[in-house]
Order: sequence, then structure tokens, then C-alpha cells
Amino acid sequence: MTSPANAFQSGVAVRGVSKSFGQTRVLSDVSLEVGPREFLTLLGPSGCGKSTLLRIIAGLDHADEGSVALGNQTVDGLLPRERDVAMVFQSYALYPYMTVAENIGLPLLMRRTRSWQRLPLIRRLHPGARAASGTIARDVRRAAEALQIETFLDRKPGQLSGGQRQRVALARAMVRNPRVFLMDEPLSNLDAKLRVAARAEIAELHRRSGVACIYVTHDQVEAMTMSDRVALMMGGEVLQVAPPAEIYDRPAELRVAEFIGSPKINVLPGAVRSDGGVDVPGGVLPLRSGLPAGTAVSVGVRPEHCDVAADGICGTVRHRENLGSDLFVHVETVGEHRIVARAAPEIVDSVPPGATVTLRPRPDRALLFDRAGHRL
Amino acid sequence: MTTTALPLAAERTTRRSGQARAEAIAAYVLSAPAMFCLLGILILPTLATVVLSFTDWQFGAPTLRWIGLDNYAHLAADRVFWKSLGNTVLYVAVVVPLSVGLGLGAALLIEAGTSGRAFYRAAYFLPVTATLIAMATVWEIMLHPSIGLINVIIDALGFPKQNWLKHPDWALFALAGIGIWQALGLNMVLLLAGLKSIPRDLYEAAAIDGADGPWTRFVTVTLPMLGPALSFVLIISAIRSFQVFDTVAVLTEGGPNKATEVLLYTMYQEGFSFFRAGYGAAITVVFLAFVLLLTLIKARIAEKRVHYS
Repeated sequence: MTSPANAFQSGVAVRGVSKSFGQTRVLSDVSLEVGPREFLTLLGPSGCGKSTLLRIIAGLDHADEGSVALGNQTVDGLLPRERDVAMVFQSYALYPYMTVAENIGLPLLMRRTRSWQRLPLIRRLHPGARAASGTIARDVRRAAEALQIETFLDRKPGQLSGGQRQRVALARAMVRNPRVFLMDEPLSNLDAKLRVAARAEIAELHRRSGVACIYVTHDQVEAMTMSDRVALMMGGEVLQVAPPAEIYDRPAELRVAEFIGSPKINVLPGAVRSDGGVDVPGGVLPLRSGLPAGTAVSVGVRPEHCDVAADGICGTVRHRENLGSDLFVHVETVGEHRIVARAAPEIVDSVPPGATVTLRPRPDRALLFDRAGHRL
Repeated sequence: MTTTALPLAAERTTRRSGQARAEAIAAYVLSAPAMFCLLGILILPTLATVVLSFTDWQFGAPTLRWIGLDNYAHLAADRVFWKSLGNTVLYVAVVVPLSVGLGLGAALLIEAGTSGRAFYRAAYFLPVTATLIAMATVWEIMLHPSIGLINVIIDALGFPKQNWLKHPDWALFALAGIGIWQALGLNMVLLLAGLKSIPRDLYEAAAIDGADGPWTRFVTVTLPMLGPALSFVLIISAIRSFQVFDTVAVLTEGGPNKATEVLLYTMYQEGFSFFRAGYGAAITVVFLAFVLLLTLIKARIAEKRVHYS
């Protein structure tokens, strides 16, 4: 579909983009770089501006301030067609009156023929138009084969299942050789099982195409499993751009730490002691924080970094969730703070609701945040 | 326990079948008024018309005679009937494409515009709500050979004035113009609703795929998505313009020299001016056949392609 050579120089640069709809500021001073073959995910809760940013890159919306460059070219004044991007919509936006083959072939038809060549009779008779339709049919078949939908080419989208429609939408994007793929929550209309399969497939297709891809989602699992890097957005700002592991292990802000990870990270109010440890409700974390004594901090500990142990933070079991592979124990400590700890399912009988347990957060994995939410 | 349980069960089954019968009776009773009205208002009069068309009944006459297909044989030989049928078809052929085309144009312009949408919608829709007979009088003044606005404008542009409604070549087209003026608003409103139901995503996908010029976008997205609405509008425009009557009755009375004689007017004259009710019924049956044909076409189209998904 795509030769990596000419895709190599491409990449996306967003510089200082701001956008307001009326009084509502949707994006404020967003800057972002996407590498030539990179898969970057824009992750954030709904309304954080991620789709608007994608639409600005596509040219469907225009930024109030700032600029967008594709490859080495600034594209701010260009129409979507001239930007040479391919986009997959959440609704798939397939043309219901066209067959699958016509849907996939439309971007090629529009680029390889002139409008008079598409007139009904000329389309069949003019040598140039006929040659174009031959190469289009070949490319359409190749794209359809890559997505295993070549048997549906003559059907209409209305006759396909959700998963098949989604593949048609992907094929329509991949049939060309665009500078960048833009995907706006393409999996959100699929059922859970299909979504898992489609995740792996999209990542694989992206690797083969060698073209940059910007993928919008509110699903952190999609972001974590598919991306080279994740840009986490909230309230119209990019909070952190980092590879999935880094954004999980070293979140720049408390908001990032709270958004990523399921169950959510445990956050406890704490105060630094003179020995560097931190007082938390129900116990002490033996850290060497190096912070001045008395500093007020928020301590973030992920459930899997919190062990049920002989000593540590004392609390009462309120609820258990046994997933088979993991056991999540919800513990209430002093001051009604809740802590979720991940434990081995084998100990499920030893932590009945109401039992008193002690939890020991791993000191090396505890994250400290200042009052403003920045990581210390 | 067991002795009472058995009779209870038996009672329950009889009660259930009794209930089903009562339900069926209730269904018939409840639908009876509607069935009765349907029969009395639509089906019986239609059948009566068909039966009448095989008789020589004169309006108000105490007797009638079965004459078989004689009325239809007369029709086939009647020059006025053929002239009338031809005029009606010509009228439909002029009014339908123009009122649908202009209605579509108006809908596209209103949808594309950013201001004054409500005003334009109301302005174009006004003729639909106005009584055509009253409006016909206004048109009569507009088309007046010497003081009418249209002739004044034509004169100012340096062309010869026309007596539109009295000119054998122009009268039917003048009526067609009024028909277009009247039908345009409804077509526009229906097509506007069709335009609004086209998902914005499709236009955006088309913009990215490269179909972003006004014409390309129109033929790639708008026209096919409007297909169902458009076919509906075409058929109802055809049926409505097939029924043209009031402007003819008020403005030209079929003249000059039968130039604006149309089916319904011929039927009206035969049935109510000349009191040849049987003959008028035969014309009505022909008229009904055409309308039925259009309705069947509409039903077929509706079945085939109204819903894409």
C-alpha cells in the first residue's frame, strides 16, 4: 500500500494551537510533534479537545491561533484534500449508496480522474478514464485483501456488520498513500471482543504502512496497547506526551496518574517527616523523599504496588473484587480514606469484609505530588 | 389440594380461550368505525364511480341503463378528451421538473446560507398556505394584458406584451407558471428536511477523500443521499399537478379554444355542466388509473430504496 521511502520525511507538527467555540475555549496553546512513522494517541476524557485537535490537523476545523505542519509544509490555508491526510471517523462515514468497492475507491477516483471523466458514459469510453478505473480496481482489491474484506466488495455498507463496516472505513483510509492517518475513536462502536482484535490489527496495519498515525480515544487500554507515545489531554491542554510505560510509571501530574490505570491509583494526603518518610492516614511510608520536614504532599500508590503484609497502613476490608487472575481488596483507613490493593486470589478467604488488614505500599513505587498536583 | 387444583387448571384454560375470543371481538369492535369510514368514504365511492362509468346515467335522472364500454368507446373517439389528456400530461411535464428543480435550488441556497433562513423558508412556503382560488385572482391581475405587472416589465424590456391567459400558445404555460409558483414551497420544505438528515460526517469524509468542489460534493453526497426524499417529492408533485383544476376553472375555463382543457376540468364539465354523469365517471376512471399508476411507482421506489441502511 505504502512505500516507506516517501513516508519517511512525513510527520506532524502542531505549534501553539488554540481554538474557541463561542465563549468555550476548547484548545489552549497546544503543541505536539509526531514522528514520521510514529503512532501517537490523543487520550483524554470526552470534551478535552482531542477530537477538535484532530479535526484541525485534518483541515475540517480551523485554529484561532497557531499552526499545523505536515512533513515540512505548513498546511494552515490548505483544504482537507490538499493536506493529503486520510481519516477514519467514529461513525465510519461510509457512503450508504455506494458498494464497498466504490467506497474504498472514491479517494482514488477523486485524485486520479477529472470531473468530466467521471460522467457516466465517458467513464466507460474515454481511454484515460478507463485506464484509471483499472488501476483503481486493482488498488481497491489490494486494500480490501489487506483487511480481509475482498469478498464483500459488491455489497452495500447497510448489508455489513459493525466490524465489517469498520474495516471498510480503514480500507478507504489505507488505499491511498497519505501523509498521516487520522483516526477518531474508530473502535468505540464495536463490541468488546471485536475491539480487542481490531486493536492489534490496526497497530499491525500501521506498522506495515509506515505512515504516521494520530489516534484519538478516551479508552486508556487502546492508548496503552497501540501507541508509540501517548499525549494525555485534559481541559484543552496537553498534560504529558510520553511512551505508554513512562506515562504510567512516571506521570507528570496527579491528574495524569489518576486518569491512567484501572483500578484508579490510590491517593492519600501525606506530610513529610524529619527522617524523609511520609505520614499517611493509618501509617508511615518509609521513604527517603529528601523533602523538607512538614511539606504537605499527595501520595499516589497504584493497587499493584500495595501489598497485603504483616505491617504497614492499618485498615478495614470493605469490599473484594475477585477477577480470577487478580484480587482487588478495598480497604478503608483512618479518616475514611479508601485504598485498593491488588493481591493474589488465593488469599481471598483471609480478607473477609470487616477484617482488619495491614497494607504496605512499595516505597520505591510511591509517587509524590505537591499541592498543585505536580510530581516531586 | 389436588382435587381443587385440577378444576382450577381446566377453568383457567377455558377462561384463556374465552379471553382470546373476547379480545378478537374487541379488536373488531374497536376497528369497526375506521373500517366503516374507509369503506364509506373511499372504497364504495370509487366502486360506484367505476360502476357509473358503465351506465348512461344523467345527473339527477331517475333511471339509468347499463351500456357496457360505450362511454369508453366515446372517450377514445372524443377529440376534446385527447386534447385534455395531452394538455394535462404537458402541464405535468412542465410543472414537475421545474417545481422540483427550483424547490431543490431554493432548499440548497437556504441550507447553505447563514442568515435569514426562517424568512426565506416562510416566504417560499407562503403560496402553499394561500388559497389558490384567491391567489388565482391575484395572478389574473399580474397577467392582465395591459396593466399587469408582468406585461409592464416585458414592455419595459422592449418585448411585445402578451395576453397570456387568452393566447392559445401561452395560456397553458401561464397556468403551469402559477402551478410551479404554488408547488415550489412544499417541495422546498420537504427537500430541506431531506438535506438536514444527511449526516455531516459524510461531507467531511468527502472533503478528505477529495470530493470537495460544489458540483462534485453535490453529485457524490447530496444527490444520492437526497434520493429517497427526491423521489417522494417527484411523485407527489406529479400527482398534485395531475389534479390541476382551480386555476383552469377560475382563469381560463379551459380556453382559449380548449388550449387549457385538462382532465379534471373536462370531467367537471361533463359531469356537472352537461350532467352526463356516466361519461364524467369514465373520465374519472381514466384519471384514477393515472394517479394509481403514479402511486404504484412511488410504492415501488419506497420499497426499493428509501432506506439505505
